[in-house]
Amino acid sequence: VSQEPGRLRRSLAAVLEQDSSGLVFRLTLLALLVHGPSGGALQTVLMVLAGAGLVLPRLAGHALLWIAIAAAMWWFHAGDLFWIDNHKYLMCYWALACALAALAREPAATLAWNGRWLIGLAFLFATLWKLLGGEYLDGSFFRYTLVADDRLAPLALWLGGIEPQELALAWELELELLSDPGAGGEATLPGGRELSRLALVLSYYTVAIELAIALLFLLPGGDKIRLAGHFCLLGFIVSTYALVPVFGFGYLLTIMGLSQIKGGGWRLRASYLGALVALELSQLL
Amino acid sequence: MEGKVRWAGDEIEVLARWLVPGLLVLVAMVQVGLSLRTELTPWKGGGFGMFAVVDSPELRTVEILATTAGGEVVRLDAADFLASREWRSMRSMPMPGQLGRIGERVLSERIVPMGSRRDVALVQLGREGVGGDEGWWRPLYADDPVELEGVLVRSVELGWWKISYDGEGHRLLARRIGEPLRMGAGGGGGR
Repeated sequence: VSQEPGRLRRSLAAVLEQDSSGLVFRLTLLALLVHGPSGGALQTVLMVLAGAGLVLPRLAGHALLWIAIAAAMWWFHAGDLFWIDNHKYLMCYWALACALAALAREPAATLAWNGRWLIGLAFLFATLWKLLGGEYLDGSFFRYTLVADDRLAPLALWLGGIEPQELALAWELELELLSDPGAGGEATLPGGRELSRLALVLSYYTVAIELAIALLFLLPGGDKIRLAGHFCLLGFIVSTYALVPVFGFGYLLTIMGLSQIKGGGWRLRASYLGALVALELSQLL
Repeated sequence: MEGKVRWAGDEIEVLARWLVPGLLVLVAMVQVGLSLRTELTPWKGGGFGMFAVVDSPELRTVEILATTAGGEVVRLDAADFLASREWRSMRSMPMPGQLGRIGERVLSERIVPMGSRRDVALVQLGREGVGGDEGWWRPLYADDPVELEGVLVRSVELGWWKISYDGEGHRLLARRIGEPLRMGAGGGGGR
């Protein structure tokens, strides 16, 4: 009985001192289990594989497990390339990166490298599209989305000067246009100066933070650049996924951010783990 | 790591570093090219264009106007004639050939008014039927009541549409994508 406290202390130390690849592998398995695909054969396959990796510690970083996970994800998503969301592409890339890391000489370094490039490139293309699309710099994307997307309704109501009845009517008009487009007609959406101002603020904030993350993760630089990248990424995760609950994306970005932390960066590690907990808790609201 | 399979050689280490970022760039470049040249929505296809433009798959639809054997022009929902996976992919990247596939299925099915199953139940309860759902019809399903026979479609007109947002006027408009397709005897429904 007297050996129990010592054993507990050793177990806790083993968790805290595990190399970052161990933590990243386990959190990715957890993400696959909790925020993986819903329904279908892929969900069953991933539940079995990710569940086995979490239950059997020797398996969590094993190359064969990650090769099986990556192969299943690529195989099942191959027929749906024009429909699946971008975070599913990112999950496929990350599963492949985990498989390569499990095979590489330095798993933690391989995960960190791939995580850095995946974050930087994803945000670079996201920024590119926002500039190419032509609906950001004049605020028009958010002017529409604030009114049309019910997830942003609280913002439109509190800060955009829109009344609940106006929102409800706008959603009805859009549905009507979509169900019988050939009947003609057009729908003027509600919103005045307050909505336009809010839309512009959101547009420029989004472009600025996404471009900053892309540059801070892609450009070479020292610890200060990397730290600034972490702050921007954490700020993006908290500000975006509190409003738009794409938890799979938020989870993945958090894990890839976590993979960048070397050695004793316990504050950053705790911040990312805190972000994961916050994402989970926000689902309860 | 315990029980690990290890690769040897610097070439493999290079692959472990560049394969994944290279794949992302390749897929994203193809997606940008396709979106600029075709109707692929920037939201889909792995180019990270979600939340970049209004033009999402949810704002795209196929209008189907069918003329029944009795000469009545009715509306059908494309989703009723396709597997959900197929319908989702189509809306991400509308192409003219897809209309032909939907049209063939419409012409090969018997159709009934949308509310007719409920009508049969109401009649059995001794109540009055509601008479369908504002001109919307659907395919006859295998588990429909035997009282429902359905009617054949003589011709059909199909067209892709999308709801566009005009930022200057802050308004929504329905716009056609491409030309409508007419199939069957007499060249299709029409308004």
